[in-house]
Amino acid sequence: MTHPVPASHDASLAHAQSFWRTWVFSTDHKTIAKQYMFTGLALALVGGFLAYVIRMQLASPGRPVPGYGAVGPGQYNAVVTLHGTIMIFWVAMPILLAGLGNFLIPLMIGARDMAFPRLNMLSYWIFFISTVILLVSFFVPGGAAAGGWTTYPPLSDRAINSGVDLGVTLWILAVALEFAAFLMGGINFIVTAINNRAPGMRLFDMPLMVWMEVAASIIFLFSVGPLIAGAVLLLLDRTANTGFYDPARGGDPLLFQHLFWFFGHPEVYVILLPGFGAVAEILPVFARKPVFGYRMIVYSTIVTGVLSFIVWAHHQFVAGIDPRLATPFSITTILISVPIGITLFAFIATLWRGSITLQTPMLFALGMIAVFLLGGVTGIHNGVPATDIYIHDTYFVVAHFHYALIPSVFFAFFAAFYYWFPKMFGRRTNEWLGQLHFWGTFVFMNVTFFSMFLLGLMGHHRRISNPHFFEALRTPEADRLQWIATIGALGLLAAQIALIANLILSLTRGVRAERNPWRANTLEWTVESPPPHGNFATLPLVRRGPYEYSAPGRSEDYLPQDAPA
Amino acid sequence: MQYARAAHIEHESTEVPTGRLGMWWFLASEIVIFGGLITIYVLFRWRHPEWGAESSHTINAAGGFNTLVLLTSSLTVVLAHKAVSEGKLGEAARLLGFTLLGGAVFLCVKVFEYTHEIREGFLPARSLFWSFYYTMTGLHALHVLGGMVAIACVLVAVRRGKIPHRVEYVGIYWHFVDVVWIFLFPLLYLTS
Amino acid sequence: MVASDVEAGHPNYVAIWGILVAALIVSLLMAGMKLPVVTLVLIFSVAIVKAWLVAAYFMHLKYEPFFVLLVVFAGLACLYFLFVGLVPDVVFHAASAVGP
Repeated sequence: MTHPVPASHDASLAHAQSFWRTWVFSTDHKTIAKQYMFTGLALALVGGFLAYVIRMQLASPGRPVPGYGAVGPGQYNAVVTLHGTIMIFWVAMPILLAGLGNFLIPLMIGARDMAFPRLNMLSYWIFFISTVILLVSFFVPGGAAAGGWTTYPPLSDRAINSGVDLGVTLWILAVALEFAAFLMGGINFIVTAINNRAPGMRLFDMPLMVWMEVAASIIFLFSVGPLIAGAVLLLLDRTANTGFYDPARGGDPLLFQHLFWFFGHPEVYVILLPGFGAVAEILPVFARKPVFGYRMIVYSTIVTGVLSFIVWAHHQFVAGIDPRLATPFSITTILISVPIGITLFAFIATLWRGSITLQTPMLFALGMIAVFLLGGVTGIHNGVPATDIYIHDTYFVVAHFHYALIPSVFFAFFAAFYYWFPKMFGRRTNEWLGQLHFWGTFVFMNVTFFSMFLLGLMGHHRRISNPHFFEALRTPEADRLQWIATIGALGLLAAQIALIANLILSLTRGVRAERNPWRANTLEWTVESPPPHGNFATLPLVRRGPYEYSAPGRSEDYLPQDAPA
Repeated sequence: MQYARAAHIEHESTEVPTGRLGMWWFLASEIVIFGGLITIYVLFRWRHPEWGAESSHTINAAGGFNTLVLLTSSLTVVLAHKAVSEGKLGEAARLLGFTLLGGAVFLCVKVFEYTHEIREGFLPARSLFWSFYYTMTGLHALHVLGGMVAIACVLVAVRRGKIPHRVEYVGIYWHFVDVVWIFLFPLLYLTS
Repeated sequence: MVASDVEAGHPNYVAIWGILVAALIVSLLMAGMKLPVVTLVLIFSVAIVKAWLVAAYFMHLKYEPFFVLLVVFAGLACLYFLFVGLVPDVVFHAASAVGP
């Protein structure tokens, strides 16, 4: 066995490969990260369009939606199902977990690539195939899956129950492939962070982003298994005429709900933690202060991860579960807000007496904390059976999880995107367009979803295509709120034009970025922008933790992790 | 290919080789998939004591023989790992061949069992017990097949003197398939 | 097998295989017994012992650092949570379901 000289830092290596190997079937973690990210953003446009259809239909039921046409009740179900599915599985996970994780983990821990680069490429291409299958399911006879993103049986196990046959099978297939892709990616993340850290980097020298990505990957890996088993049973119910979920034949439809939420609730943290990680990187850089309570945040994350496995039944309080389950699951649900609260307080304490600069990444990071707090606090109402029985399946819940997911997915991703854009593409973004994007997103997000809290308390059920069907929702007040939410949604979508314009403008005409434009400490800023294939000329020797800002007695207010003292 | 492996990993932070660590995390994901299925089955079995009568129609002798076959193939694959660590690649290849043979015998016996049961009218849709029986043994058989493909690939490579460390990794996977069967056998056959 | 094998992380594999086969024969014999509860407990105890022998010696879990063991047990812990949470609904609540 010969040990060749590491040739990766030879910059010509990247150019020596063909177009296909460099840009399409690449094993370079940075290229794969961009592939995931742009696939996710493209799918966000699809998901956003579906949101537009939903909002237009609810504001003026029955009137054809411009650009889509009339929305019948069955079609409305498919649109809602696919909006949820796409936004969670094809937007949140690829951009936050796979996109940011792939780009940042090797760079932040000082590795040349992921532990298994070819597995990484395979993971993206399986994800790509799953994306194609999902999009194809819109156009098959019978239309796309219409059983909700939770795809409960009996809606999903017999075609006669939801009116959709092939669409549901394709949905299950697409989600299964997507899970396989993220399992491969997750194993790669975990092993890379455990085993391929640069010399000198201990576990507690890792940036919080790496901790959070790894924690999210571990949570995903352990929670998804039973659902995969459950999905196999569902598929057999559909194709092989078994009766796993059919009570008439001894099966149990509640079982699927349990399996789904055993995965589904940890999935919330799979999405949230990478967002927290990005915020934790950005706050100290723009406040020029060490992050407050680094170890406390790590421990809180671990506790959150463990607790996330024992809260799932709070999604099923009204599903007919054993009433004795309600109290323990309610207690654990309230309990999980403690470690999350600790993390948020640590973030706020990081700002205390910092010298804060409100540039675009920082604005989005602060916006994330502000909006997420409201989402988290309204979660308490859903976690207690007494109030949940009243608000369950109303727009209050819809508003709650959008207040939790939009900050953790979009705000945190945009913060990360503006922050690491110079590293990814070697150019600076336009600050003015970035600020416009932030204020548009922040204001219209609140306009849209705050009115949904009020609609939910008025009794607007979350899965009806025509609110006028109900007496209580036929009032002028309700109609006004529906329109406010719709106008907010249109504004929210319009604000994203600023992002697209910024992206195009910065990629073509942006100012060239130097290595470390934000004067940050972590290892990714010590290499060129964009980093070459193989990342580091020689592996860095890590000497300290990632957040040494404004150390007394130094001329510079930052101290990179690998700089000699 | 070996070039790429050696080039991008220069430093390992723990004493466990990166490939073996990856295999363990992969097995962790398999534990929750198979374990999830077994958990669901155990709960249903608890709820339906009458499944004991159905379970008595499985062939204990065939299941027992298959357990023996898998245990023996586990022995040969771990001996192959030992042979590799002693530098005896030829012996390792021969032992891997025995493991492949064991996998093939296991699948043949399984096919014989399925044929027999289907002839007797025990189809997957007959009752929930048989649905579980075919799902669990079928998924396990797919893992046996997958393991055989992996072992065959490693066998070819070892014959050419390449990447012998992978003998250990496929071995760990093969033992996992064995462990799953150790639980499936009493769950589906013996508790009648 | 010599002592140096054990030091190199290679226990006597053939002997472990012998114990596993003996355990298999024991569980096959127990399946014929007429005491359901005792049989059940014994058969699954034997299965757990067999699985542990394979994992510890054939898969070398005994020789791995502690955190690898933790990976396996974290998976089992998740399954335990799932099991406990599902018992009330799937095992006992089913009586209220429709059908035979």
